[in-house]
Parts: sequence; C-alpha cells; structure tokens
Amino acid sequence: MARRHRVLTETEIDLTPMIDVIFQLIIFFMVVTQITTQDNVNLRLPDALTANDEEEDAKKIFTVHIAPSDQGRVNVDLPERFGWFCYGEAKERSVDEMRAILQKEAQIVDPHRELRGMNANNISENMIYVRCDARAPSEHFSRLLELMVDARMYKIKVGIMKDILTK
Amino acid sequence: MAKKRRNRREQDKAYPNLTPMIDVVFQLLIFFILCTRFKIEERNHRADMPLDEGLESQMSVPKEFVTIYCHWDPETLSNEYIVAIGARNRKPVEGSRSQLKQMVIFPSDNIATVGDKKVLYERVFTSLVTSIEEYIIRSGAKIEKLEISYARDATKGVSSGTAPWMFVSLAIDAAAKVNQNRELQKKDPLTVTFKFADALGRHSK
Repeated sequence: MARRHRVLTETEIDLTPMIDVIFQLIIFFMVVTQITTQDNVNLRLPDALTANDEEEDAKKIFTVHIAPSDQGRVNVDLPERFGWFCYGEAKERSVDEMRAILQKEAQIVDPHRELRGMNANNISENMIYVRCDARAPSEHFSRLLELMVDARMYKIKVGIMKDILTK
Repeated sequence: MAKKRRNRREQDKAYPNLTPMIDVVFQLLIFFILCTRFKIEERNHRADMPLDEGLESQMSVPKEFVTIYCHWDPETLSNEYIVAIGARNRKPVEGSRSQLKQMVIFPSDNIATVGDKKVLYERVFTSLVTSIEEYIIRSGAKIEKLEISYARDATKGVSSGTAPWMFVSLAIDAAAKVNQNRELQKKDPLTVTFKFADALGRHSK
C-alpha cells in the first residue's frame, strides 16, 4: 500500500508592511515631538478679546511661567501658592535664581532664534514670553517686571488662552 | 539529485532575524506616542515697556492719565473696576463686579459654562472700555496715558495684596481696545503702564 506523504509547507507572516507602517509612525512622532518641555508647566491662562494670534514663524523665546507651586493642584478654584517656573522644569525659582537667569537670557545672541542680545545702548533686544495663571496674584508679575528692568529687558509678550469657542 | 541540491540551497539562505529590531522599534514608537504633546495654540499681548519710567529711571515729564484700579476683595474673591484721573474722582465702573471663578475657564468646563464665562467677560470688558472712553471725554483733560493699578491699597503697593492676574489681563485687554478705537478715530494711542511701587521691597524699607 502506497503511503501518501503529506508535504508540510511552512507559512510565514510577511512582516515587511508592518515594519514600513511602524517606521512611518516613528518618523511622524519624531518630527512632531518637542523634546523641550516648555509646555509642561500647567496653568490656566486668562481670556482676552483683543489679543494677537501667535505668529506662525515665531521663534522659541525664553518663557517664564507664573503657575501654581503645587502642580498637582492646578484645577482647584484658587491654588494657595504660585511661583516662577522656566525651561519647562517643575522647579520653582527664587528671586535670586530668576535674577541670574534673566541676566543671562538678556545677553544671549542666537541668530537661529532671532536673539540679538544687548544693543548699543546696553538694552537687551531679547523678548520674554510670560504665561501667567489667571488666578495668580499680580505681585508675581510685578516682581518679574522689576527683575526684567534690572536685566535691562523691556520687550514682553503675555500669553492669552486660545479662543476656544469662536475659532 | 538536482532537486535535492536546490532544496539544500534554499535551506542555507540566511535570513536576518527581525525580531529584536521590531522590539526596539515598538519601544521607540510607544515612547514617542506617550511623550508627544501637540502644542496648544495661544495668543498674546505684546508690549515694549517704556524706558523713561520706573523706579530707577529719571523722572519723566508728567502726563495727565486715567488710572484703572482693580479693586480686589479677597473675602468674596471678587473684583470691581474703578476709573479715576490719577487718584482723583474715583468712579466705580457699573456692571464690572465679577467673581474670579466666574471668569477663569477650566478644562473641565462644558461648552455652556465656557459660553457663560465668555459672556460675562465680554460684559465686564465692554463696561470698562465704555467707562474709560466716557471718562476721557468728560474729563476734558488731554489724557496721554492709561495706568493699571492692581494693588489693594495703591499707596502701600503690592505689600497690601494684589488682584489676580485675570483682572489685570482684562484691564490690559480693555486698554488695547481703547487704543484700537482711538486708532480708528485717527487719535494718538495712549501709553499703557502699570502702577506698582517697589514690588521687590528694595526701596521702601
């Protein structure tokens, strides 16, 4: 009696399309991910009716966040304490630290970020972007202005919430 | 014989083992998916601070100015605006009293609540703009400057407590609107400044 040999065929899954798609996804996320943690400080910006839209070609400028000291309690009605944060770090800055940071930022020259440093009159051409929580007592902003004047920085942008209903 | 050799050759083909690469690629993918934060668009008020004013600068030429006082009451957590020429003729702005929590928009707010908050903001904003413009017209003075005061007691400065930024921001917004309207009327824009005395407490000791 003739024995029938069953031919065993190995079936393999073709992984090539999956790898292609995954590489596409990785490239996408690598391109859109901002490694800087600039926006990692949580706060509630105020609304406004006359604010300017952010320029599309706006270069990254030095940002000071005036935010709740306890970043875990951002969504309570009125957080108890507020402080200065910068470089996206969850570390509250003291007056002396902020003074040193502003003195340094005032002098930075970087053509890629359109930072021109000090001009001939010893006044900084560099701008500061301030994101101040709507609930923060304004004294934090006031103190920051005084430190800016000490560092001879006079150009400022104040962050306003995007108009979420009309745009 | 030839078939056998072909099969042997087929078996000898070296295929790269893709498993470790796929593992690494998945790790990268998960990392980027978790870390990616899409930038939230914001808007801004942009300003150049005046060089001729401030604590350590020389005294500037006196200007007639309208002051917008943010009159903050920490007990009721509410604010009312007052306008005055300098410190004279203080006049509360009608319909400008509002509570902080009625104005600040939270991510947990639903569309209806956000709408209510925006309506209230617009009402206070319009009252303040109207009040400033009427005050300028009625004063008869040549107003050159708008000053925003946010200390509870303007004579003591920030040590007396300050209004939340929400209300200062609204005053800046209203000042910008006054200037936009003046531009339409071909009038010179008013300088906008803050009234604050020695926030760091270096000069008042």
